[in-house]
Amino acid sequence: MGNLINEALSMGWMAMALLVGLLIYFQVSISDPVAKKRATFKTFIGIIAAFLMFVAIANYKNNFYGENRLLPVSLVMITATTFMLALYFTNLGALLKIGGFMFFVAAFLSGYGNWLPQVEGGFPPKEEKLDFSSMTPQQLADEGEKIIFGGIGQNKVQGAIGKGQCPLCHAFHQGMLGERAPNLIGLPERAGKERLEDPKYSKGKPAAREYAQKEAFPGSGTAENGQEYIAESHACPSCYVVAGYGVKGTNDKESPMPAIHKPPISLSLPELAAVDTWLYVREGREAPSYEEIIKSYEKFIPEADRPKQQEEKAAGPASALLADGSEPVDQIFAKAQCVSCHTIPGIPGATGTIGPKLEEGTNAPLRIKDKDYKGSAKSTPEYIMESIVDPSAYVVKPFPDNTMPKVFGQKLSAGALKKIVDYLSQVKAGAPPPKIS
Amino acid sequence: MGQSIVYGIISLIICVAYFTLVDHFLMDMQGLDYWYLFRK
Amino acid sequence: MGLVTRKKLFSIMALCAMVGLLLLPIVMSLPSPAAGEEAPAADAAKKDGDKVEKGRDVYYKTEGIVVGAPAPKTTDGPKDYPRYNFESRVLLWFANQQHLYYGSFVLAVPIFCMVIEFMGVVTKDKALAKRYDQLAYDFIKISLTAYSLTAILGGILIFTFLTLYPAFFGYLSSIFRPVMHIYALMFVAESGTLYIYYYGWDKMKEGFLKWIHLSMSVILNVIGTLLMFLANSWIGFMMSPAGVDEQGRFLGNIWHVLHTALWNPLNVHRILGNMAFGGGVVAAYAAYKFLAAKTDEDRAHYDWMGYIAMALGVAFLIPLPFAGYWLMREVYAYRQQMGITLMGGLLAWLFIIQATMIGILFLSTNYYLWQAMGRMRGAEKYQRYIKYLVFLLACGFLVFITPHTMVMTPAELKAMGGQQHPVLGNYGVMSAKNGGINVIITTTVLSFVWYMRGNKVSTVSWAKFGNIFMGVFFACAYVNIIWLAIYGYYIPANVRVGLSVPQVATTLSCLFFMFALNSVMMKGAKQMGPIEWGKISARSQYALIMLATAFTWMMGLMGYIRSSVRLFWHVNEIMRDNSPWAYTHTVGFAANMISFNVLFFWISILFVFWLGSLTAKKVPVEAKAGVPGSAPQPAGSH
Repeated sequence: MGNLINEALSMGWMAMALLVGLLIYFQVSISDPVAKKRATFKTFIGIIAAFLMFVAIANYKNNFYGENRLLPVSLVMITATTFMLALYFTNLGALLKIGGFMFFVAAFLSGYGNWLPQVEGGFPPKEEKLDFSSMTPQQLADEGEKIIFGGIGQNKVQGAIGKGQCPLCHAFHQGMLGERAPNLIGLPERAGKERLEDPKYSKGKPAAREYAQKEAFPGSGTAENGQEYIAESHACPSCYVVAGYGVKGTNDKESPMPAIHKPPISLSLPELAAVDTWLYVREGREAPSYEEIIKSYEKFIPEADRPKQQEEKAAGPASALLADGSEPVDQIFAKAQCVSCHTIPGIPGATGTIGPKLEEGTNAPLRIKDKDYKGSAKSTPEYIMESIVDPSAYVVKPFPDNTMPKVFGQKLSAGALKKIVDYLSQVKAGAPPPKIS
Repeated sequence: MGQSIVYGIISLIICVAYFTLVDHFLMDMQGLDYWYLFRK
Repeated sequence: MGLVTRKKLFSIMALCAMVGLLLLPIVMSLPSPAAGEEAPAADAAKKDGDKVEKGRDVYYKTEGIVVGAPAPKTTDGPKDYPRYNFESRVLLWFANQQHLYYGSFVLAVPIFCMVIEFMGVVTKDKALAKRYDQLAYDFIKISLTAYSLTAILGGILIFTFLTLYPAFFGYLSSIFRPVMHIYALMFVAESGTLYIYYYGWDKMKEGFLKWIHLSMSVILNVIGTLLMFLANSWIGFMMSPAGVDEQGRFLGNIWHVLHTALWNPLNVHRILGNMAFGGGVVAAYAAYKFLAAKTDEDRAHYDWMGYIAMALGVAFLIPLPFAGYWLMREVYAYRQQMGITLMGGLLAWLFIIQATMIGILFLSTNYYLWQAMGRMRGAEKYQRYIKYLVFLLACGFLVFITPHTMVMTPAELKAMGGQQHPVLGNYGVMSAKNGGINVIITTTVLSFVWYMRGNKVSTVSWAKFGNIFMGVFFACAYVNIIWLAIYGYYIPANVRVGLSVPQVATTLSCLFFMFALNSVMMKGAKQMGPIEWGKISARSQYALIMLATAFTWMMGLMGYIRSSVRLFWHVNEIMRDNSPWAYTHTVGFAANMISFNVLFFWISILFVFWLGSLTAKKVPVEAKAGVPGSAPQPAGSH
């Protein structure tokens, strides 16, 4: 407060001095005692009003950029000032009152705006054309980590996930969860030895393979070294399936993993190079050079299929979403990768068996009645929402806890969640699946 | 008094009919079924 | 040759001159796109030998010959972003907003003038006709001072652009080169027409000449509207560019550049918004004159003026949400991401403020109407029901402002147990919100109907049935709106979205049928007493000022939202903003800045009004012919 008064005085001393001068002048010049008294009173009010006004201005100026939510107070002070003045300057009364009232309205609206939660749009992502080819391996690895986990140093955080969406299924550390797909620790070591030498891999003899796909594309052949193995796994997941990780019911002939260079994930070759580099670097190994990695991918991904490296599109907070709710529900299931773990009647490709079959129209009411149920849902939609946002609230037996990522509450828009809930609550066991909307 | 009641009833019939028609046909125009809940 | 015929001849010549002025830019522009296409193309051809480079339109997907330079890649520094020791963006924001306020005011007022002058011409009541004419003249007088200020502010805006954002402005003007020249020419035409229109008022008062004068106001408004369309094309281009390739090179088709995805929705939205805003400003002017008036006659005149301005403003406010809906739908169609940023992402809180403001606007309108009933005898019978209307409005308002989903931190998400509040979340869905806003609008319609029949008793033979029918109709309308809102909870989403159409139809039925029925019933009605213009409470005038301030604030808010949705692009996806101010401000800062702009505008325009009142004092008061003697009834005028 002291500061404000000081500042107000230093800002408005000239106006005040003028008014004080006027006060003295009236004392001297007016002889009629009644008129004198009135003039004195008016100037006195004028001084107070001017002082208040300057305090208000000082307050406004100080807090213009600040987080101070009391800023509109100075507008209210101005309102009070003008109404006070209007009492004494009747010929300008209407103007002053109207002005004051407007200040009041503005103060209310400003105050309202400041009272709401404050969200500041962060700076846009730097427009560096990420030129992966000229990076040091460490830089490249950092970019890779961003693609996999969404940020540097995020790789040990359960649930961290980036554009590549790898951690939805794969684990990257000893003891971390990931039962849907092989744990990738030690992969660079394993790739070139165990995997390539596995007779089922049939190195060099793609025609002898017993998998859903024999080659990434006709004539691509098989991997010859560890890096090529990794590249092939990304480009053609079903060319070789690690035992126990195939789509259930196919006898490990088909992999649940999507081809990474194709939608919905669509990583470009340089991005894949960054991802692979991180896999090597984080284990303290020397990664193959950028060119070598790119070459390994070019072997398995035909020219036409290579996604162009996109410029980072508007990356506001919303774009971190896996699905924004505008898509039809089957695409939401696909984009969020629900389909790789759950079987969902009516959704093409949703044949996962890592999590329970989602017939929530039938199951949810039973689950809520289960004596082990500790969640807070009272209805089917609430139960589904809870299961998505907080998967550990209730875990269906015999499936293990902590398998389902806990990030969907943030990674799906409200609209997308709503569509999922709407759809799933209509799925009933033994009834035809609902229409996709 | 009796007249008012008659007028009231007539008005009520007209208004309810009108708004029901509005609800029905404007939903129909969008290819939707206004009576969804009741038909189920 | 008689004096009158000579006058006629002159006026016709003046009209022709105006049409000529209007057509001039068009004639000028005819060869210019062609020239624009050939000349640079020839240049380009010379430079690259015979190789002609082709580009693909980012929006229309057509092929075109590249004739422009690519959008410059700016870097932070004094070259592309020279600056004072202050945030350049805020300076530009200020200059832009002030120009827009004045601009939309001077574009809206002539439209009012045209409407009021027309009403004056067709009204049979001589005294009333004269009052309308005087009112229209008053309006144009206000806008004339504001007109020069608009031009000055436009100059300031251009200089601010040139000095603070030279690279961006250079690019924009290279694309819009011919358009900008046409714009300047149109501005000349606008000024010329406005001056002839204003100074010819007294000379062209009677008969045939009056019609010529009226046609001039039509031309004036056509020019004004075209001006605004051109200006809109620039912001349309910034939001949803077209006519250029991915690097921002102009492809030779100026129509594509103008006719971007959002151009037409913006145009419609802005015309309606300007009208509502203009009505608000004139109403505030009338309120000021009313409060400052010394005589009963003045009070009567300005009370009436405030009422007309308010009615016109509200008439344009009612379709505004529908135009907004169209704009929003086009935004979603253009870029999903943009729509989400607006409605469910970064800028969503601003829409909560907007919902609040819409509520405030309707509340003040209703409050004004209730107060206005005080100036007629016989309206007392409605007074005791007003408290129920307040209750309805308050309920509708509270439901309307409940947010649905917000950007939340995970902690908040957890605390609330999902993206929606377990209880309040139910009011946040669209179904309930539509119910809320429709209840508010229907209540406003009801207030209007009460106001219009305030001092009258119907004399038609079926009056009793008519009254009962109106009562029942409104009651059923409320029931239907609320029923549809509740029904929405019990049916799946895809059916639910359709419910808003019958809901809106219900509200509009009330608006049209009840107004029509009411005016039929009130034809030749017995008056309990005249409308005593000027006998309105001072508080009602504050409601008008509230309305005006809220309009201004809302315009600032929506403009800010529209502009900041581009995030860090000067031209969406074509030219990046690399200045240090490419981030989006907090809600609070934006609110403060908007308040500052609003207050600056109002202080300056109150000053303009005050200046106007100074000159008016010098002129001997013209015979106050228009002062209500027999108090005609303008209520049906909206």
